[in-house]
Amino acid sequence: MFGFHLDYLIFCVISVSGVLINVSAYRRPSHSFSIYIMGSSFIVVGALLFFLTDNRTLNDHEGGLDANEQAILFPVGGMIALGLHKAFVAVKRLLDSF
Amino acid sequence: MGKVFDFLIDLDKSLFLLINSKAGTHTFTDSLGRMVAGDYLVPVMLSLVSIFLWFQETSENRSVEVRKRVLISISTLLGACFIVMISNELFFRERPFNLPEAKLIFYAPTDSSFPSNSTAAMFGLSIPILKTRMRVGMMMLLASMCLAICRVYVGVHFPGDVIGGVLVALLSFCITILLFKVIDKQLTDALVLFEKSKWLKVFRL
Repeated sequence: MFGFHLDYLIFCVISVSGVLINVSAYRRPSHSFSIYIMGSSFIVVGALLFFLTDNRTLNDHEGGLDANEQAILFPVGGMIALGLHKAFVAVKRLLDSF
Repeated sequence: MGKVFDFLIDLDKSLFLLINSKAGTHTFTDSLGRMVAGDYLVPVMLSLVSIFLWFQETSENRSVEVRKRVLISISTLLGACFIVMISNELFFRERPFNLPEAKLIFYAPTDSSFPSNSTAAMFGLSIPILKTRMRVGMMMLLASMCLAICRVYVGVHFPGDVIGGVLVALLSFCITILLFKVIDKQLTDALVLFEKSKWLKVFRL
C-alpha cells in the first residue's frame, strides 16, 4: 500500500485500537456485545489490510522488517492508538455533555 | 555420546522431511503456513493479548500482579532473543532447506538454524502468562506451537531447532524470574505509582 514500514505501522495502530475498544468494553460493568464485535473487527480488518495488500513473506534484506524495527514500530503504533482512543473518548464525552 | 548425537541429528532430519514433505502440495495450506510462520501474524497477535492483559484489570492489587507478569513476559522475550544472539555467535547450524530433499516455500534466512529465534521469542512471551491467566497462557502457547510447526513445514527450521527455542525460552524465564525476585518491591512501587500518578494518566485507559 504505502511501503512496508508504514503498512506495518497502520496494521499495529488499527489492531491495537481494536484491543483498546475491547478492553474498554470489558472494564465496564455491563459488557456490550456490539462493542466487542467492533473491536474484534478492527483487529481482523487491520490484519487483512496488511496481509492481503502485498507479499509479506520478505526477508529483512529484501525490504521486510527486522526484529529491531518491529520492536520500535509496534510500541509507536500502540501509543498512536492509545492517543487516538483517548481523543475519541474526550470528543464523545464533550458531545454527550451538550 | 557421539552415536547418540548422530542418532538425534538423523531423527531430527527424518522428522523435518516428514513434516516438510507436505509443503508445496496445496496452495491454501502453503499460504496459511507462510502467514503463520512469518514474522508478523503470531508476534503481533500475542503482543495484542499482552496489551489486553495490561489494561484489563480494574482493581489495583490485581492489576499490579497482572502487569508484573506482562513485564516478566516481555523481559523473558528479550532475554530469549539475547541468548539466541549469543548462541548464534558461538555456533552455526545450516538451514534445512539446504538438504536436497527439502522444499522451501518461505524466504531463505541466512543466520544459524539452531535455536529458532522466533520460537524462543514467542514461547518467552507466552510461558510467564500461564501463572496468572492459565487459559490465556495456554492459548498463547498454542499459537506459539503453531508458529513452531509452521516454521518446520515451510522449510526454515529443523524440529530440533524449535525444541532448542523452547528450551532457550525456559532458560530465559528462569533467569528473568530470579531477576524480578530481586527487584520485586521496587517494581511493585513503580506499578502502584504508575496507577496513581497524575502525570502518567495519559498512559492509562
